[in-house]
Amino acid sequence: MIIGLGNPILADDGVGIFAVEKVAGQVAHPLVDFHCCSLAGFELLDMLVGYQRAVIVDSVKTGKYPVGQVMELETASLMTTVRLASVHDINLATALELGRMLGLEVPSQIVIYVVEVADNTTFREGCCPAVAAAVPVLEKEVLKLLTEWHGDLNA
Amino acid sequence: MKKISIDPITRLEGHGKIDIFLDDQGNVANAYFQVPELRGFEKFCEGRPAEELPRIVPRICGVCPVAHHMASTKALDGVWQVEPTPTAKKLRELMYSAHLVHSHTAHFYALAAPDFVVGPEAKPEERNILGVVAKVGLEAGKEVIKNRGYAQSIQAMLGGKATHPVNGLPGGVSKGLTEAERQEIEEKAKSILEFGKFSLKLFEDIVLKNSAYVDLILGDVYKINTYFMGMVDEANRVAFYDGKVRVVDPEGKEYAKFAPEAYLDHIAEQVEPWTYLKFPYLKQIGWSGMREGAEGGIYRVGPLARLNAAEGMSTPLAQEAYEKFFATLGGKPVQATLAYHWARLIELLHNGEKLLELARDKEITNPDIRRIPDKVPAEGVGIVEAPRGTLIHHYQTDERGLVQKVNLIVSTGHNNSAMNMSVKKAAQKLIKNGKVHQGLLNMVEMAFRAYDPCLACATHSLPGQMPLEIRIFDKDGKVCQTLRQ
Repeated sequence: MIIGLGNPILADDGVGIFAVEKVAGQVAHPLVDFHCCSLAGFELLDMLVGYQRAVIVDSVKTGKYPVGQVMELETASLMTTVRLASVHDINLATALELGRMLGLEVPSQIVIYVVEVADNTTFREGCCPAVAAAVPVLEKEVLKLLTEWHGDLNA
Repeated sequence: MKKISIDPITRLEGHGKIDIFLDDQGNVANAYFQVPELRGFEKFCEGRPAEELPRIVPRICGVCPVAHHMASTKALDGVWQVEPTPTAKKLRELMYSAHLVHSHTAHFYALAAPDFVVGPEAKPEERNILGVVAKVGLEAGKEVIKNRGYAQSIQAMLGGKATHPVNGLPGGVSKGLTEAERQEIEEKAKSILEFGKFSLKLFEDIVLKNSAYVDLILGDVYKINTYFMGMVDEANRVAFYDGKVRVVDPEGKEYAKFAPEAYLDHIAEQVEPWTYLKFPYLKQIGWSGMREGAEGGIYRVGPLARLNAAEGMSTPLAQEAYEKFFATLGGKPVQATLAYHWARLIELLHNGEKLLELARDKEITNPDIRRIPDKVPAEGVGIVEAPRGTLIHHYQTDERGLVQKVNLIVSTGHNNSAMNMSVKKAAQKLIKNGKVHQGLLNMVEMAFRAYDPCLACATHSLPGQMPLEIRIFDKDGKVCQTLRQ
């Protein structure tokens, strides 16, 4: 399951969606599904149940990295927040833990790509140039990973 | 590829923030709750064809997209001056009931239950949904996931998409219901209704049978005196999809009742320099700051407000629960903020009943699902009760139907003053002589968590949850302590 997260009309926030849409257009494989959405927590769990591996592409705003930089998120770093009560909805790690606890089939491997963004609070179509430039980088990374997993992606 | 990790205490943009100011004695002089605000939505909509708005507005918020879609669709009925067919109204209401079940379930089990089922002073690492499931059992946990999923699938069936529906059109909906689909919804509704009963019983067993919790709910820490606003049907019963907006005063007497189109006669908005979010208040009373009582003009919306603003529920089991609610909490209106949680579960039960009632309605599979508009578009107001409270969409278009002006008042906006007042009250009661400890974070959070505020939730940047920061300022205005989760 390849998930693009973000809000396509909230400036840079849509970058995950734009990248996954690009990848989806190039892959036709019976074992690979795509989903783009503006969701989190519980809803993510719904989407991940029944899949063995997952890729998530999202934005991040740390202020510590150059805008537009594509990075892979250490899954462990999400796990460090699993025990914290959330102000709204549950976070990804909690959702996965809940799924496991309830005996649902959740992916055993999740690769998370993130892009450092500048503006994710203004309603506007399209990313800033630096973030837009991350889309082909993400596209290449995800395709490379999928090829490692499945070989020919149009089989 | 660079690999990074996110330290959980990294300050990410978009924090919810509570600033607490202490006086000379170290007691709370003032407290402010700030919600990060998304900008430019009204401008984004200007010039676009109005019929696109129901598909754009769900992107405002990832938590209540269906509520925005519904308020928007109703505003379009007004813009084109067209009355939807009876079946179209019922299909909208059916989808909307599923949305309320879905939203209320998530809020109670993920956000409210940890405080009560696990305990308000439990260690943070246990005070979450995992801790709740550990206490109530795996089977109950599975019921939560299953019924939440059922509600989601009903929304998807009717809305065309699971979370960002596309079926709303001026004058009706784009998709009807087949007999096979109706049967599926009926089966799921039966399960949801049982789940609604189970959830209410869980609350009664765990919260109401524990006198410490009842004291906490009824105590001064979590009580403020305000007006209440909510939509009602012709018999003044709680209504979510359609009706008039009713306001009761802090004594519970009807203060106003108005049709959606008249909202500007009753609601005005104050702008404060320290936050982007506006502060709605009762216009005819006027703004005099965040003041409690009848002179203050501050009102609340959401589950507790709806129960207070109405005179009953339109379904039998929810009516029974409604009566018990007020009998237990000392009559109407209930000003105890933590009672929002109980009210939410009564609404969950009500919407389970409503789902089943609508799924069995003879008209629901009627193919007459849309009336084609034939008037020149102009102006419309659509109001629904979103899970978190009254939601207002107001559009003006030119004669081609291109948007000229959009005004939205969302539930978290209505509750902005009340959330600030609740946070301040809790902080004042809990912080004495400058003594602040980590446990305070959760006790103060509980004051606003009851309202289930939308903290700029349209942004989904990782780590996928909204961190909260509490800053304590000393008498000289210097930050002396910062707490984060």
